Amino acid sequence: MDSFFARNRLSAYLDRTLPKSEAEAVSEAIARDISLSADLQSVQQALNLLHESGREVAPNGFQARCLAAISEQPVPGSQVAWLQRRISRIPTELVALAGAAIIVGIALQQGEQAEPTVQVVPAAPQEAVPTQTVEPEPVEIMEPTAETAEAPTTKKTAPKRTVRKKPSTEAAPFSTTSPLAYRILHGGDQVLYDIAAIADSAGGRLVDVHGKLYTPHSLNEARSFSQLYLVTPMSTAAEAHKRLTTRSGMSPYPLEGPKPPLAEDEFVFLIEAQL
Amino acid sequence: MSDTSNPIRRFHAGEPQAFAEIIGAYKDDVYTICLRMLGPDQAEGATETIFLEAHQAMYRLQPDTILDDWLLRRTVEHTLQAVPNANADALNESSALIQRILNELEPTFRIAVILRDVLRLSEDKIADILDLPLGTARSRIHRGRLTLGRNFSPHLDQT
Repeated sequence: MDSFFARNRLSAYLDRTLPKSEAEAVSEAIARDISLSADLQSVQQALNLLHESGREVAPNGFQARCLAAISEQPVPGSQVAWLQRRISRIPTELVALAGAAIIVGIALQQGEQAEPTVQVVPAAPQEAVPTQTVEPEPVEIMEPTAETAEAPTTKKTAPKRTVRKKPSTEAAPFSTTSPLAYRILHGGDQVLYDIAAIADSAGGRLVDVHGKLYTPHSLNEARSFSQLYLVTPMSTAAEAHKRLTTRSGMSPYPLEGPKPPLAEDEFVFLIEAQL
Repeated sequence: MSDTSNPIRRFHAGEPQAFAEIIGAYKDDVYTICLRMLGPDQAEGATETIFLEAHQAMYRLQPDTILDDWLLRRTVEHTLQAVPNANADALNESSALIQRILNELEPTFRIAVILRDVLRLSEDKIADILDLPLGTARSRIHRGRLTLGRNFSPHLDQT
């Protein structure tokens, strides 16, 4: 056996897992080749050191400190924890839908109770719009209802303007100078593939903190969380931001932690995805 | 393993001692991985974070999960995603030497060597924890060891 093949078997040779004939051939190669012998000696000594002193014990009092920190969390099996677990599984979209339904219900109820004060005239629909002052930027005006358009000559009882805040899923102001981080809670087992699709459409790539390419995989109970970075060209970052915000359902927050290595014309997003 | 000895089932049953026993059983392994991957400054904090997250995740864990594989896999994922600190000043002489030569390895090779030669796990178990084919895990261990030996040779006189 030549030195190249023997070197490739050094690890197994040290573990004594080679078949007898191969082990003898490696021994012969080591006896012939001084550099191979030196490699074996240094690896052997390094491993001896690791075996003897590599293992460390957790600091004194670690367990007590850890248990104290855990005691701040919900107690396993308690009704509170049970309720929190159930609530946490309700999709964000359902909560948003229920909230919107409540707001619309209250608005309609208030409209029915109010005195009629404005008559809607079809010839001049712009005048029928109430003149209540509303801040234009942070709020969105609800469109007139179909009922209003179909029965223009009847007196309407709901002149009050209903306003609502923009939903949180709408993209926040985006700047290519401020990296952003997103949380995707309850993203499902395929969430990493969704992120990969966003990366593809933006011409970007998924990497870890060291800049190495990140391979998407299915999330499951055993691997329920993943942290990764999406690196995109500056030109497509805004579109990626929009899609990530939509997928996340939550506003991003500034990325202040470590970032993977980037080229000058690249932008980075941190994504924390949960099953 | 019976229900009475399965810590996951006991945890799900609301037995408070169950997770304390899990910490007691695995804290040194988890701490060692964190120390050797991230350095002494971050090791304890990272270990605590891993146990806190594991505590939350255990609510949804299948009772037949192999607990040590699961916990060590979470530890590996956490340490590979964190940024290491090469400072080894807080360690004693031989431990600091180990830390220095391990720091010179790429993280993927370093974790393979740590699992094999510090925690003394089998190659099969390492392949499971790293979610790699057995051959790939063996190759990483082998290449990590060779690089480790080369990095160690200048320090031979210190041992």
